[in-house]
Amino acid sequence: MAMATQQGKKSTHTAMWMTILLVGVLFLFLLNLATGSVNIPFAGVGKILMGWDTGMSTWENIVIKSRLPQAITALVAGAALAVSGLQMQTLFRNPLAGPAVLGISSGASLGVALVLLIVNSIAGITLGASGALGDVGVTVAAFLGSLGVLALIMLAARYTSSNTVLLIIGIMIGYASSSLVGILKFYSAAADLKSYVIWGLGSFSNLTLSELPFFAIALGLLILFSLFLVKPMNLYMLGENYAQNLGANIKMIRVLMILASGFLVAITTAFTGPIAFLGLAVPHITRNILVSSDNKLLLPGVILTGAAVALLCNFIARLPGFEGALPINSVTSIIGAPIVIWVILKQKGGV
Amino acid sequence: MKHTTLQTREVAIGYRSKKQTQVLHRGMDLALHEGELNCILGPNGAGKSTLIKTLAGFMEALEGEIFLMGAPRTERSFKKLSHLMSVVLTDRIQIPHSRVLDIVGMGRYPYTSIIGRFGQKDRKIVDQALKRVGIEAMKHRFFDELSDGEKQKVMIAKALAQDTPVIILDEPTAFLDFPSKIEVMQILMGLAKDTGKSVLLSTHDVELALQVADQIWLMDKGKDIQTGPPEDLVLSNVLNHFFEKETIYFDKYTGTFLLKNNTGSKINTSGRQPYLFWLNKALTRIGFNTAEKGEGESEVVIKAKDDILLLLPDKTRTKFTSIESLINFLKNRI
Repeated sequence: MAMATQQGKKSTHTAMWMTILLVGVLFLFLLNLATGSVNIPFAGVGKILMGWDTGMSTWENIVIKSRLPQAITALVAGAALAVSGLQMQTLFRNPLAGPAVLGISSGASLGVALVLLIVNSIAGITLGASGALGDVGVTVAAFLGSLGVLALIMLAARYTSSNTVLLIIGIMIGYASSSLVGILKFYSAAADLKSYVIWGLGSFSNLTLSELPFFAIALGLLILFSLFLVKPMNLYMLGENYAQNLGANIKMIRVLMILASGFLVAITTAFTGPIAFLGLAVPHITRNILVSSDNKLLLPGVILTGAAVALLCNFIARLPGFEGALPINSVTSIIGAPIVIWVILKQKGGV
Repeated sequence: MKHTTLQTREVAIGYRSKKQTQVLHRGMDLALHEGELNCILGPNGAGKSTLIKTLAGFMEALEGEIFLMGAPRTERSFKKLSHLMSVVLTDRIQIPHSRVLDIVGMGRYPYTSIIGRFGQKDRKIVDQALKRVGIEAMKHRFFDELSDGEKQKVMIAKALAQDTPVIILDEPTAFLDFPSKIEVMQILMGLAKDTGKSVLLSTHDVELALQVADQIWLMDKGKDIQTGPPEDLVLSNVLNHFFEKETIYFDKYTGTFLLKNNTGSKINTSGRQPYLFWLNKALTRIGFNTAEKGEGESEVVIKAKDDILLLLPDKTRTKFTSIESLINFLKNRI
């Protein structure tokens, strides 16, 4: 009896928080559509989303062309980075791991730096100021940079079975890329430098309506694929020996986790720039509110929490008064750092 | 004839790297039978852990073949292996917010679908495992908050939930307080007897192992592994020689390790147990080196607690009615 009520209590707790998170995501999504330099009532937003006539064509323009892509980008990117972070923390069994540990986002930065800072000196074009073509160039460069690092990591993973070694290699790749970027920066023109810095601050508003489906579907599929990794991820928490004894093909699981996590970061970063903190912090927040380490709950949990936190950060970044002044990366870090500190201090028995 | 669950044929264990191969033991022919508890004993560095890791599949055997339920282990898939052998390791487990039930439940993962959904049968087996190990009451507690002994029981329950004919445990009694050591050993002994599983464990608790093990595997660096029931190993002096040291010896009359006194004068003792055991203890304590026969100049014969006879080299015979009076007499002579 006691057991039944205990279990009941636990599943009620989970169901309650999943509902809160889901409602939170929906609310924040609408809030993102409604607020900004022009505030639009929720009713108006609803009508526009339903395709009904509001009699305000400016409202429709703002919501459909600007705020909707941005909110969807935030939602999907938040979920993707959070899933990637959870996978990295599980793989490395290290609470400080995040999407950035394998150096993949550094690879993106290097790719972008190469394109923005070198193309100008060779071809004499300021890509940052060359509109759509420049945007596509930056996205492709970031993606290729990420893939380059991911390929290096996969190569290293073939040579070492130690995840600690892999972690160190990832961090070293990060340092090496930063240093190369530093050299490029030193020799580049001020205008290019500014485009690079702005890219590095991250933004959910880079995507156009036409790019959005690709972005959302690609990340959606990767997240869906990650759902099939929850069982081996749970086993992985016991350590590789136990996982293997419990029937997991640890070599394959390791490769799949790195690939899934790597592509999630690569695609997200290509379109939004490097978003700090989210992927590291969201799994901690989710673990604490769901009071669980079971990835069957955590994975859906981090998807919702990641989306909610990204939407919240996007909302804050566009609050009246900050309009256009707050880069998303600053908001994620300023909100995120205290949350992580609070969560870790509150946690019983350390991390 | 009991069924063989695990068997090794001409197996060599050790470490292999690109540059060199270091063999610890070779030509090992070992077997586990159903319903038996097997204990690996040996000093640090003897290769106990290496043997356990090799049998459990975490390390490759350098030579030879390991058979599990009749077929070579190398021919079986991870999935199939997970149904045949479970392990309890010394790896530290730290999963925040994880409850006892979650950890024990992982033992069922080899049997669940890709999303890991638990059926009625899985839940029942987990409950039975918890009951068997005696930790049902703590199943909703956080693993982090348990004592070392309780954690060890949780890992045993996990292995039990895995429902395999072979369970291998690497030093399951290390770092436990004495009552917990005994409890864990009793659980494992009962498990082998009642469920017909083969249990193999390594341990440093020799005296405890001798009481519960059906078979002892003795290992030491550079020596061939010796196996047999504990009693045979003791009576044939194999065990005694294995653990012989300058200052300590294994006393085959009592099944315990005793301090050796090499400096004191030798005295022969004989008589009936348990009196002889306590007489020897008393004599050792006051500085004598007790021997079975012939070596010492004096001799003490004890037949009952109040019937003690002391024979001195000068052929005088003295009777004592308590160990205390004998001790006082001898102390005055020294």
